[in-house]
Amino acid sequence: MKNKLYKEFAGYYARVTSNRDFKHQLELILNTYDHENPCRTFIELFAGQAVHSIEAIKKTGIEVWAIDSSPEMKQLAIAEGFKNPDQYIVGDLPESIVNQTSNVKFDCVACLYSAFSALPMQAVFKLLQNIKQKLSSQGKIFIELHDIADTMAYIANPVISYREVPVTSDEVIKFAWPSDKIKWDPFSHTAEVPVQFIIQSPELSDTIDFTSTDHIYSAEEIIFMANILDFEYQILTTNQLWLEVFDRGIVLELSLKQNPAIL
Amino acid sequence: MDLKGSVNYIKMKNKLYKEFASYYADVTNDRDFKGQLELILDTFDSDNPCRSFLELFAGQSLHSVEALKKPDIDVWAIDSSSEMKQIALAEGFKNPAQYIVEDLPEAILKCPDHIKFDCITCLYNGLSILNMENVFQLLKNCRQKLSDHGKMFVEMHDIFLITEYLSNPQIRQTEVTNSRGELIKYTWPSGKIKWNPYNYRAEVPVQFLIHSSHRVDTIEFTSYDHIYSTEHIIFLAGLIGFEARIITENPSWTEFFGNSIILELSVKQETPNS
Repeated sequence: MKNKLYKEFAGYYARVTSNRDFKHQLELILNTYDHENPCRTFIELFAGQAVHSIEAIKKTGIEVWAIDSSPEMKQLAIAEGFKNPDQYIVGDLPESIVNQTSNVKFDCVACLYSAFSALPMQAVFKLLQNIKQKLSSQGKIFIELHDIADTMAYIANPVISYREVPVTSDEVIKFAWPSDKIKWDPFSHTAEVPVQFIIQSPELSDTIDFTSTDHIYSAEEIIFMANILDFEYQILTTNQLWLEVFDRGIVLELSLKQNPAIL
Repeated sequence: MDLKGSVNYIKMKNKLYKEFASYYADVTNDRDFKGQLELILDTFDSDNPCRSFLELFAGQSLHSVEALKKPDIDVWAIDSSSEMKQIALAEGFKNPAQYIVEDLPEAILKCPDHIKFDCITCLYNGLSILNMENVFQLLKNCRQKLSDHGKMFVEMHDIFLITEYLSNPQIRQTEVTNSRGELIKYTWPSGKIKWNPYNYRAEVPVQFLIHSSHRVDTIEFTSYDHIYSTEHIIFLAGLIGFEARIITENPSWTEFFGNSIILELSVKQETPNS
């Protein structure tokens, strides 16, 4: 169960997923706003240890929120610097963004690390509908997605490789993601990805095997849903700088279509 | 015998449906069209049987030709290729006025207003030639042209099997001898499939070798196929008010449709409280 990794083993999950330039990623996102109208409210969905949020908290004048289903992840986020526990909501998406964020409207909704892949298609559509209700008039959504050509290239030529991340001075995690052949569903672009963590210290070695179930959405699928909901889009990672900072993922920006003025 | 022949390198799948339509027909008539049609027609109540039938992306329209053999079914077909229509007429599609040559999704609205279809088929992964906007528009147009008890039957790819192929691709040549005595050796795919970063559209290289008595012709082209998942089509159909059933979960359907997935879409009935 992947859930177990987000809960019981949340600390290890956090260690192996903190390998990004969160600060730079956030800077790129915030720089898309006009100087006269900067981002003042920010929410990170599927936040986990909420490292983008923590970077946002370091800026002045941004009210920062986060949502994740794991209380263990929330504890890690608070320990790392997420200052206001009331604004880290432990709840399930797509519902929590409308049910538990009071009357706040967000200038920025971040859904990074291919987080939509945790939801089936109908729930992704519901989430976009819910986000639309919670966006400010200048609000934008930033969604990170898989590159389908890269995914297909991996299927054609799978390589199992272990990486090593230190946890403490005498504990290390070796992990392979995927650790074995990925199994696909006949009816959807859903992958069952075997993952293995080997946690080693001088005293013992623990192996944790679990399966990550990931819905691999294409940018076209999300753009199609967004269009139905009257969003317009840009693919930001067509810009080389974005591509480098987001490690070859695809980042979509969605904003509400501006209605023509009614005379 | 001179076997040097000529080589035609074709980068347009359209050309295969038009200039070389008969060869395409030769290699795609390897199904039990009669058995498949029987299964589809059997899903209708005997009190309320299928009386109007439309085949989309019909090609040589062999399902339609089977439907024409039944009494009391008004049969229509749509395809973009006039050459395919000629083949269909030769195969037994009786009423040329009811084989419409136009592009989908618009063409379905060219059927006369008073005709509503009990059955619309979109088999042989026909949706894969349309982009997502056009698939959605096609489903909308179909809903408009379905009768109250009408149903759509949509054939889809099995994503698991596609990924299995990608992880172990094998270029296999298949041989077919056509009615003119020509030996057609074809490989589909004939090389590495290419993908793009933003969608599930595959660029599939295909090769046909056509051996006639005195020459060998090589035709190479690229087939662009959008590999939609069943989940995605169910999602789009749900937005339009269809309900969906995966009927190839029934073994008698897999027997006739092989490795494909068949979706049945019907218009959601309003409940008294809805």
